[in-house]
Amino acid sequence: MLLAIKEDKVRKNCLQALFYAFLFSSLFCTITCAEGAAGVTADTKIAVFYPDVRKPYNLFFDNIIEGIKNKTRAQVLTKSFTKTEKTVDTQNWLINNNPAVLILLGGSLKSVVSELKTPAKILYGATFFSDGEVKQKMNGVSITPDPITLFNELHKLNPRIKFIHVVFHPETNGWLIAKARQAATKSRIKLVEHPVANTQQAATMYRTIAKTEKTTVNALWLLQHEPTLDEKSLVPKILADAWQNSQTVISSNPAHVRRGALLSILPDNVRLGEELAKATDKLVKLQSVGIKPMPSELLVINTRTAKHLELIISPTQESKFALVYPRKTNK
Amino acid sequence: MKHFVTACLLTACFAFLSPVYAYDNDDDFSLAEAYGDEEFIYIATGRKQTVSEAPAVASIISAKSIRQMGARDIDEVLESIPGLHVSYSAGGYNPIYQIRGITSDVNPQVLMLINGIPITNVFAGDRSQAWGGMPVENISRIEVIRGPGSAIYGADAYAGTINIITKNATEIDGLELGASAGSFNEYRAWLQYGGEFAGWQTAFSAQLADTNGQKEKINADAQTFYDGLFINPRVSLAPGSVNTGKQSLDVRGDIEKGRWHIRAGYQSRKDVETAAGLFSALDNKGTADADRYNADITYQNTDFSENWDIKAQYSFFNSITRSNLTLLPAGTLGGAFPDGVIGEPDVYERHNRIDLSAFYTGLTNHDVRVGAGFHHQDQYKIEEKRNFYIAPGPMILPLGSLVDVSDTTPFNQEKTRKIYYAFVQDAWDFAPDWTLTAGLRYDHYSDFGSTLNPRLALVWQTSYRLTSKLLYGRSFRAPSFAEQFNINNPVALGNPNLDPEVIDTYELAFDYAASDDLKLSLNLFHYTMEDIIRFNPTTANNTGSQSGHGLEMEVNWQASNRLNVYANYAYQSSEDKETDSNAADAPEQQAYLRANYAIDHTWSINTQLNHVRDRNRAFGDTRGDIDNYTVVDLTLRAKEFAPGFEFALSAKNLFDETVREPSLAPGLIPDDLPQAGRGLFVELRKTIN
Repeated sequence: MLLAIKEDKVRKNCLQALFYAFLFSSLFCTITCAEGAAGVTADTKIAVFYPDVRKPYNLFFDNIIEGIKNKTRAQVLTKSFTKTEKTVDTQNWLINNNPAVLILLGGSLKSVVSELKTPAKILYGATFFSDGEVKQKMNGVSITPDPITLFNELHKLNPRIKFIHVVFHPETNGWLIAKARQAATKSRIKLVEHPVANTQQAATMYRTIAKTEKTTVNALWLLQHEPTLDEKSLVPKILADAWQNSQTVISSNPAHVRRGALLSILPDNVRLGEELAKATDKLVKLQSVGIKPMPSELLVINTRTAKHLELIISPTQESKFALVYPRKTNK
Repeated sequence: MKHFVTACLLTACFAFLSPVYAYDNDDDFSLAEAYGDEEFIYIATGRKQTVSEAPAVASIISAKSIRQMGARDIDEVLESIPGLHVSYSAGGYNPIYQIRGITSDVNPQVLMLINGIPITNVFAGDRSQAWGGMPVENISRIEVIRGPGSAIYGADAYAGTINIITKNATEIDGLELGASAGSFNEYRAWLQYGGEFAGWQTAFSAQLADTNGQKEKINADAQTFYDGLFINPRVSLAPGSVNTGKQSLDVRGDIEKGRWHIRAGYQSRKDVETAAGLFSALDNKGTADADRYNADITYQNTDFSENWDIKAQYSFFNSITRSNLTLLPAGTLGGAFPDGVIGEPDVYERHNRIDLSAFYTGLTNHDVRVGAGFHHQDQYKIEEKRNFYIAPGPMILPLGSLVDVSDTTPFNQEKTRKIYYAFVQDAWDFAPDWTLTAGLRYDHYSDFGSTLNPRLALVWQTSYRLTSKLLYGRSFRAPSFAEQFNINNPVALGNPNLDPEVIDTYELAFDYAASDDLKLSLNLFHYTMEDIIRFNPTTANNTGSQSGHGLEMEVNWQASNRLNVYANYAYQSSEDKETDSNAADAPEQQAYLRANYAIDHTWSINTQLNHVRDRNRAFGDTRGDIDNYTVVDLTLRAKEFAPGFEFALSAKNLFDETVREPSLAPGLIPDDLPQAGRGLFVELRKTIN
């Protein structure tokens, strides 16, 4: 009996020992894995290549780099690219610095990577991505703003809007529309998608929408970097018709607000940089990143259009916009 | 006319030369696309303000346009405003901002503000008797309201208001250094800094200038006339050159953190020469100096409470003008003045202001603005030395030597004035696309009493492309201390019982965006001025009245990504009701054309043409018409030709046109006041980020 009890105790002790061993080893693993998962450490090097562009475009890259530095513990090495940059010099630079991740900012540097031999993981930023590039499993953060902020704000300003119509070129913006579909649902709005192949089809589609859809519940969303949306001929017509029919137009292109769209969103370059820093972390952890739209909360509103649409914007609401157009006069 | 044709041809050439713009590379294009266009980048980064829809007829000139036109002084910029012509008075060539035909030699009918704070000198009601110009490097934008503004700004926003906004930290890219040199032995240098210092957004600017000034000739002057009265040798300096040399220093600091904004400025003017002379007699010895200090501290809280946005501001302005003038040359008046008629008047004044204003937005569809304030004007010192006195007749008689008459018979008096004011304004969106702005301001002056000035503005967003405005406003001009308190001068005696001048203005304005690249505006106006203050015949009195009407139109055309064309035309017809004659001196028609063509990302060329015509002589002035003129300027600019460097070459009055501004009636300077001929200037600037 005593033996049995002792055996029991021994077993219990053994179990306890096993339990604690498991616990400590788990903890140890968690800590070590966590250290490994952190991936990016103070010793990690991130290289950021960006094009040497004229003012005011240089501000983009300054802000993006500031954002990257805000959110990473890694050493951030930057290198600006002039048009005359030699591949061999870049290659030597990479060999000397041996970064874990190479961030390429701007569209013109996309082609640079094919000429370079580097074990570094590649991340793209501050450029547009086509649907094809997204499907190629490229990693990066697009310059296209995430429409979720736009949809949320539209819902707050005008809860009667139930449908957002978007005319788009699938090969260019298909990936964004897929993301926007989910974003719209979260804002209790249905995204009505109109894929088109060219400007002519787009023009016909905008006319159809204007004729058939009730403007009280249907809004239009104009895209940025959309090959079927001709800025010179189509956009003025869309915006003039929208004014005439009291149709709400939101846009991913902030300059459209100056031309009469109700709402848009400005690029937030610092946040773009921060998102790149997070993506760097994931890449080092061997996690998938893919292409993300740029997160931004910097909304722009046209108060002239808002008044025309009989939307009441409280001062509290107005103060939250990054830019109000036309500028509210204090005189 | 030939110059007009030339400029039109230049513009037309630009238009045909401009194929579709190609960006340097994909990145510029992508990044511009992210914001929609390049201009929006400046707006989004705070480097450019969007245009406000003020319920008034207003024009805004940005720092970019100022630089493109190669302007060195604010007057060159203001000349490009429709309905505004910059003329000059004989004494020191002080600018006369003639707006819609309203003009006078001292020009107190225009209010000039720096960052919303008046820089009016209470002595004469102008900017300073030794103004000496204002450089433009530190200017972010200039907002010009034509028409009444007293319901908001109070006194002197009468014919128009010129608000100069200086650059803040975000508008100066690190450290900027620049220098320029050119004709008339003109040298300028400037240094500007924008950045963050100890958590404060900090901007600093210093601008230096030194010029001998243009030396155009005057054939006869007032002394020529006096020479004819005596048998003694002729002593007039005419024929001779006008004297327009000067030295200037402008320093400004601007710090901002959270709700606090502090600014300070200093303008020094040294050896400002007398141009055609204060008495319309050439004076090659006389000079004037000025020291002007200003400071302001502003607290603005946009979250004061749920519906209140408040702003409190204290500001200080001190202006000292010292003159050393030879009013008539040596040997004048039959040899009675061997050293000439010498006057050394000095005026010291200071201004303290407290302004409180608040926005209330708690009422749906209403934006209510209320405010109140106090302004203390103190002409705290008057000093004068002279070697003459003016006896009734009038006769200028010698004192024998230069005598300090500050405590005996000075030209003016040490005086103060207190002003209390309050205003209320409501912008009421009473229907979709319709806004009615109604404002009323009450000013109480410790000397002449109270004045009430209303304004009404009905703004209709008529269509997607068209905005229409119907405006009414009443404004007043407070009498200056010269008009109230001049003494010991039988030809210009002050009158302490003066009332303010009053103007009622009606305007109908249209802004039309024909396309995204072509914007047009048109306004029609009618005004009536009453109680105009004139020294009539020798004592200041509210005697005059004037009415006028006219139109102004503007076209802004972004012809291509390379070519921008801006043009305006103004017409006015004004009548001096006292004499039943056309109002004098201001042009009845003005046309202005500017084209800026970007050859590539580095090189650009800018040309501007200014045509001034139909200036009437004053009633009783028998001289012939004042000649019309057309001036063409050309500026070639290279940006970033080397990292951080910019270079410009400007030709002002390229065709060396004869330009004359009217001299005072009856014409002691018979051939009017000659302005600068052709001038060439080079500038180089460097930015260090």
